[in-house]
Amino acid sequence: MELVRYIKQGSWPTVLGYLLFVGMMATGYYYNITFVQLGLTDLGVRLIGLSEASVATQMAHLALMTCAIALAFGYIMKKLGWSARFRVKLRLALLVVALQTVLTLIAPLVKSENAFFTWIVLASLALGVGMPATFSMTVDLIPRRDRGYAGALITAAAYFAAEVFSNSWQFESFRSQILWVMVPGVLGMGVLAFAKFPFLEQLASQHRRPEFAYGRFVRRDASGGTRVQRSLIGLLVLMFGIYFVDSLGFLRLLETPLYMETAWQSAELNIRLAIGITHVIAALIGGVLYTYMHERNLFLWIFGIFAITHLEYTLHIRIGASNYAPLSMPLMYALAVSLYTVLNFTIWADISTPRTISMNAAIGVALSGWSATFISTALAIRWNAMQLPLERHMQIVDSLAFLFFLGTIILIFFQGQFHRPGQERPTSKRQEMERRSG
Amino acid sequence: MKQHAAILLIFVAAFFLSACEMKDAYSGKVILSGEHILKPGETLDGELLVSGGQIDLKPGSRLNGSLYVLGGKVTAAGEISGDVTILLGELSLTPDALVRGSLSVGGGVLQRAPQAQILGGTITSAAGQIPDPQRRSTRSLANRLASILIESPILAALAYLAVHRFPRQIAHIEHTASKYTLLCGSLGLLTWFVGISLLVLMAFTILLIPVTLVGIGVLLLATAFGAIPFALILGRWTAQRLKWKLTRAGKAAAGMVLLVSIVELSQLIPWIGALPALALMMVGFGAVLLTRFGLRRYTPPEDTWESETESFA
Repeated sequence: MELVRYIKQGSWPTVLGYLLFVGMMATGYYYNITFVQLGLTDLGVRLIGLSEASVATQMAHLALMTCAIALAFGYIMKKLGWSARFRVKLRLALLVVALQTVLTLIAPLVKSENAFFTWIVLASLALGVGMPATFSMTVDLIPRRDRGYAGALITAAAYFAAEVFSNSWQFESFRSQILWVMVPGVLGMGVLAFAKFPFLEQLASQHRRPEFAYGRFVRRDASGGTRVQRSLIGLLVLMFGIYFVDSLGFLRLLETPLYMETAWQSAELNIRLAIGITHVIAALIGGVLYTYMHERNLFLWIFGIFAITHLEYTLHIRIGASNYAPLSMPLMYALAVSLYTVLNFTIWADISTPRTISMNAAIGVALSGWSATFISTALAIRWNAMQLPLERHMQIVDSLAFLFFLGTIILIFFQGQFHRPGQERPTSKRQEMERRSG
Repeated sequence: MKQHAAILLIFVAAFFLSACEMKDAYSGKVILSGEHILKPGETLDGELLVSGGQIDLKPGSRLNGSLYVLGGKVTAAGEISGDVTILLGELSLTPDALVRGSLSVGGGVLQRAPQAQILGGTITSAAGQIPDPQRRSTRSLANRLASILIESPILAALAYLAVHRFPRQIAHIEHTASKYTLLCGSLGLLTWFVGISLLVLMAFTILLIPVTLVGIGVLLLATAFGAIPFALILGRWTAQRLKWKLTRAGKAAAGMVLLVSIVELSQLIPWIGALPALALMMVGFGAVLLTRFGLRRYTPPEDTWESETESFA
């Protein structure tokens, strides 16, 4: 682990960089999975009085707008060269956190559907700008070899806090919790963004060092430039699959009180603690596996676990155990979710250089994460209107997870068939562009 | 070989995928919790699997299928047309009970009234006894010493044979477990957790119980195989300290005796006593997986930028 080496060397600015990145990303992700994904729904349904379908439609809008804004802003950052400028990214992050804090503060004032939509548009702006700005700081703050561990810490902290400290899934509760973190966060980010600390100068230049600059899947080509080893399209499809399977399944579980009240929303702290600890262990396992193994193994694990988990739910629904749900089901779910979240925090930086990170992260997170959320939400609304039974819903999700699992196996097999030692893999158009641009 | 393995994997996966649509091909009932009663005159069609809770099959009731007890408490006073199997939990066969198939006892607690009729006979398998984790954790020192005396020679002989017969495989596992300990432990833990969940899930389908048993066997075999390199390390260290002249296989056997003793005795420490043994098991199991039962050397993905010193422009 590089962090241990930096501590032994007394390279404290770099160590502070780790803390800054993990703290910032964990807080951002916690905000996203609690306040945005759950709190907003509660605000819309319970406090404003909108129908569930209407709120789901607004959430789909949020996903679509965030996706578009992130893509546009990622492109702008790359074109203007902001992608490699740490100070600019820090200031952008400050703007985003400030906007999110204001939006969180004024959220109780939202009383109508139009005001809710306006709030959603502004939230999309913050998320869309924040995504490429914050993800691209990976190349400044976390060296290549420790990205798996950093992703693991972010995932572990965000999910543990979300699971253990969120005893009430109500808007007011999420709001007050996140404001305790966000207000000091804005002040801290403000100081970092504008003060002239020497350690910040060092952090701003770290992306020039090879251990930070080159992602794990970036290779040097014959002309001395860099190119991406892995196909971005392949990764996007796989990550899209994971997000899609997760959100399509979880959206329905959210509406099933038995599965929520015996697990994520349980009144018993022990149960929530068990899920939280599983998230932590799974995230740490994910970090280690990502560091030492081919990422394709992680994809296989994730799809496989999702397939088993949804099969468990399907079986449980079929045998009609109406008042009891085994804890193994949410624990397995937590396992899969933590593993893929680690991937999400690491993989985009590892297919990038400082120049391309903002665009790659935007494409990656927007096209896989937010577009999957948009499509799955839209589909869930449609299936609700059709009154699709819970068992059928979970069966479809399970089949999808299994198809992706199968697809990944086939993909690995054919990669092995066509790739022989000493041969270069065929490059995609995008990789070719990367190669030309150096 | 690789092609055959991939085709086999795809077939297996396609087989399971086809099961996603399976409906009413097989019927059965699973009891996980709560209290259930099959009243006199009532008939339950299909297999009955009990893994928790309580079920009372009253006199005059009929189960048209087999009964599997994997946990919980079953009181049978009615008629069971198939076989009865108990692995864990409690089964009480009252004087009115009539089992048309056989009774298999692999573990758990069985109370059988002498008047209860078992038409297919009774099979008791001591080898198939599943240890009760609660009973195991409260075993006394004398029990543990007895276990060491019985288990360690058998395991030492197995370790001797394994190192003698598969020296390269054991060397690969040892190298991987000692060099990539964290990775092995992580992979081992993940595979155990997911593997057990999958096996339990398969057991609930009843149809796949044979596959489950094979799976449990493979899991235990891999875990045991993964422990041998640790026995070898321990045996080597001990032989060096005590200046014993032993062969490699002999060191593994001596190490296994020590390892079994340490693992058994460490469990006398409450709460944390089992943790070192668990960690060791997971690391060894992970190493077996990474090296595919020691058939290959594990090499992590290369870091092509490792030797790069030039700054990024």
